[in-house]
Amino acid sequence: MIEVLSGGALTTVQDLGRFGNMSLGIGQTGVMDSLSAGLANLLVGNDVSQALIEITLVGPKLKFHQACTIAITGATFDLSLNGKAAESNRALCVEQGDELFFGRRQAGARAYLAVAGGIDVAKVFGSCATHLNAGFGGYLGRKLERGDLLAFPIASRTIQGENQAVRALTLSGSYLLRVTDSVESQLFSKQQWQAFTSQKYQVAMESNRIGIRLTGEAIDVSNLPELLSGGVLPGSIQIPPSGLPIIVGNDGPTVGGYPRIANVIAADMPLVGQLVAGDTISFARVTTEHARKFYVQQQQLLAAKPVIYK
Amino acid sequence: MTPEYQIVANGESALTLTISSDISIELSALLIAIDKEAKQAFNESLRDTILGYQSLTLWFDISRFTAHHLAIEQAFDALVKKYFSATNPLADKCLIRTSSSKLIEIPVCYEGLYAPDLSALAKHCNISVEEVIERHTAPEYFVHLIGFMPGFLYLGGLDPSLQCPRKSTPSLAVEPGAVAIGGAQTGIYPTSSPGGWHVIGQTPVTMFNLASSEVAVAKPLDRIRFVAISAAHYQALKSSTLKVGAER
Repeated sequence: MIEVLSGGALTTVQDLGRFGNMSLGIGQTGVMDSLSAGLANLLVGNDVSQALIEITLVGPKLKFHQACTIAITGATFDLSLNGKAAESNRALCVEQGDELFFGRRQAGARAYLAVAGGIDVAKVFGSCATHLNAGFGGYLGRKLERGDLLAFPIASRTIQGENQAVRALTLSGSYLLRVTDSVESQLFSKQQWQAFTSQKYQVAMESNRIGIRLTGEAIDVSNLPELLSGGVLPGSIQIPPSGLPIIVGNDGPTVGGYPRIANVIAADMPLVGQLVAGDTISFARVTTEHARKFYVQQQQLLAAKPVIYK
Repeated sequence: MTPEYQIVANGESALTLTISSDISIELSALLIAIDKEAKQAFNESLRDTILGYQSLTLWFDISRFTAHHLAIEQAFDALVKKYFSATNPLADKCLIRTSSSKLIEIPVCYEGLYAPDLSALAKHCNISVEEVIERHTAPEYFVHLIGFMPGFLYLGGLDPSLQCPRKSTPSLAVEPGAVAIGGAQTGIYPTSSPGGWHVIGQTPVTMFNLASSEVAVAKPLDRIRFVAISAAHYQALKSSTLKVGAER
């Protein structure tokens, strides 16, 4: 069992999300940074798709009631395991009674804590991810709070060979996000595209798993026609009447009517999951062909398993 | 006149079909038929599909789409083209005569605290509260799609005299079961959420019920009728194990 001594700002059980239910209005949910989450799982010998813990901005304090192997990736924090500094991005051996504390956040928005064997919660609509809005999935459909107990299987694994530290993302706070064609891309003029790609936006405070809101110079979209509601995917970049972009998150609405200038490419969605208020972003347009190539390249990073277990 | 269609990229691993035609039962029936066929045709590669008022999005597994996207794009275009080949696809009555379409009656209390925005809406529309209730409960609404949040039904058929622009400042928390009007649309909030629509009533029915075999109260192509109930009746229904009203 993992006992939650303090919950942190928004600590939830997640996995790669749920699919096949958008006809019910149930969106993907799941980890916002699938690259860091996948890496955390691989570091403890799990499959990339297993349930783990997503930690947001202010981390929890956790007590491990049994020995296990863990790994923490993604956003960097001052980590301590039983008062001693612990490293991210590598497998760590935890003894019975050990306490893990997430101290000061250094960079990025979301860290991932994987435990060998995976976090043991029931699947709802095929996934262990938490649906915060509707209150199901994950741990009782909500964020973790003091007193919560998370189960994990006893997985006896010994690390063979190199236990290398592997880091997937550089969290500089200033990012170039690559985007590709979306449904309404053609509706936007050369001038509107120019306005979109030439400026540095800032991530607004009101950003969360539902959507990342940006501040900057508004694009004049008064010429665009009103649209009927249609399907919306995570990563879509909507331009509402305010002229300021919203990047739809994993917990975003499955249907909407704002025009989309572009979609963030899958390979850059992990960066979206790491955006913190005040970060700067600019956008660069790529073809769908290139977008797919970039994703394939990124997956090869995960395919090279960082740790060998017996 | 035969409507036109367009299939465009929705990111690098999804395709969106848009049909240039006004919101209608016929259009939704056509999209649902195409959706059903696409699910069979692309079974192995599909992650999900999303219905819109005049669109259908096919969201593919990115690895599979990368390997087969040309074939998939061609196959989807050919699949859709079939429906547009002969006569106007929206005139095909077979699509609507689906045996699974049900009429579902939803009890709604339009009284007092259950209807916080009812008076304001009545005033805006220049009619009495009683007339609002009468015009809201008269039609059989058509379920076009479910989306935005789990179990949220997009209903067609709101009496135009009841239209009311969304609130400029949305309420911070609308109750689950709140029956509301926003712009030209009406719907029921399945969960508590911020909302800019005008709450004119409250239903004791659970709109999204994980314990049920049918988690959402209705499906696209079903019809909904609102039935006015008293506050006492509302409380009685709310406290009992509630099954959704008469299905026909």
